[in-house]
Amino acid sequence: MNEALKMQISAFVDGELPENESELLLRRLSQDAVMRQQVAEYLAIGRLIRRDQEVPGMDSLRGQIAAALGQETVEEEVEQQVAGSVLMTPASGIAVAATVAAIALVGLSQLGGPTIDGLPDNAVAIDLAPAYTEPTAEQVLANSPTERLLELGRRHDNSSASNGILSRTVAFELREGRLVEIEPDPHLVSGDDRSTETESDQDNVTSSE
Amino acid sequence: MANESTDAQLVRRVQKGEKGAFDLLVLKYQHKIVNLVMRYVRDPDLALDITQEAFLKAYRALPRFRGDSAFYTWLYRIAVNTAKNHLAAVRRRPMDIELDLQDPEQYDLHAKLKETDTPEGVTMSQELHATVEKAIDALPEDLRTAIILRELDGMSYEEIAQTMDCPVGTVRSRIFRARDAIGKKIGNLLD
Repeated sequence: MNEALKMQISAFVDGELPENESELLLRRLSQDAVMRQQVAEYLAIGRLIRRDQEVPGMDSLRGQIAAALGQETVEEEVEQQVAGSVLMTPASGIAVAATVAAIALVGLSQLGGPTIDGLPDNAVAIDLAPAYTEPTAEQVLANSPTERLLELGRRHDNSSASNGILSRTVAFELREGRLVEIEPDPHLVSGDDRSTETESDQDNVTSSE
Repeated sequence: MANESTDAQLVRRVQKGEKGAFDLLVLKYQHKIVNLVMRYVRDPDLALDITQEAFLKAYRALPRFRGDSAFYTWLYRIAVNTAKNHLAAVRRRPMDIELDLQDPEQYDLHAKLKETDTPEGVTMSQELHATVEKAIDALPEDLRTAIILRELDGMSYEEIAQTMDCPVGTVRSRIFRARDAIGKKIGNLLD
């Protein structure tokens, strides 16, 4: 690694790298473990100079996180999340102990075209258009299929697709062999609202950051 | 390290599949998060486990992160909630005598770390600090001044340039050369 590159890394560690150099360096850092190790060294030097208190075992944390992520890429995670949002109903004849919900996408053309009604008895709910919504910390920790389903219903309600077709997501529940429409819970707090509440909680946390 | 826009760039890279970008975020924030978690749990090993769990949760949720808040703000909340969830789980185990219910405000991080230091760890730490001090003392005055203003006073390059009456580019070079010289002296000890 040449000195010019190390100097860039040094400036990057201080947050002093100009924007025109930042993008390229970040790309290289993301792909080069040796360069990242240089970042780690400069950070360690700073901590030693400041005499920051070190937690025993800290050195192995980064490696443990990397090992835990070793078999998992972000694309694979997205695939898992899409697969996880697909809900399958049990076969007919089996008593339903838990609530089974199905989501059908009903499209209505602005010109009064035909509706799209493809809801079989063993309906499958698919997260057709996972919007990029910043999950709150509570949502990250909850990771419940029912909550994800209701969140999907809330996000896609009365939305208009880019092709001009108005769409509405309808949720159904299987009760005594019949599909009954259910309404999303209107009292569900949005992600943004919860972020605001959490930020005010954060203000109360003593921080030496 | 880098500012919020750099974090945003790194997050975008992680979302594209570059795990190395997440490694950089871990590098940047792991110490802050561990220190934060240790306000809730006294055991350093447990704090490291909770920190690891928080980072893994953040990684899995990153595909849905849109940047409405700063990455560190978001990570901070995940870490706090992960630590609190652990405490709540501990409280539900009445027979568990290792309850981490200590009031964070009364918790002395330094005292706890001293309790868990091993003799070997203390020796290594002392040796490292002594070596760094010698290395700084051996620097030319302009390099020593630059690195101290940066690391101990937290000055920006612009502020250091005004203090030392030199261009920002010279500050950048001096700080790098100081780090390079110190790094050569302690390289083996850091491995």
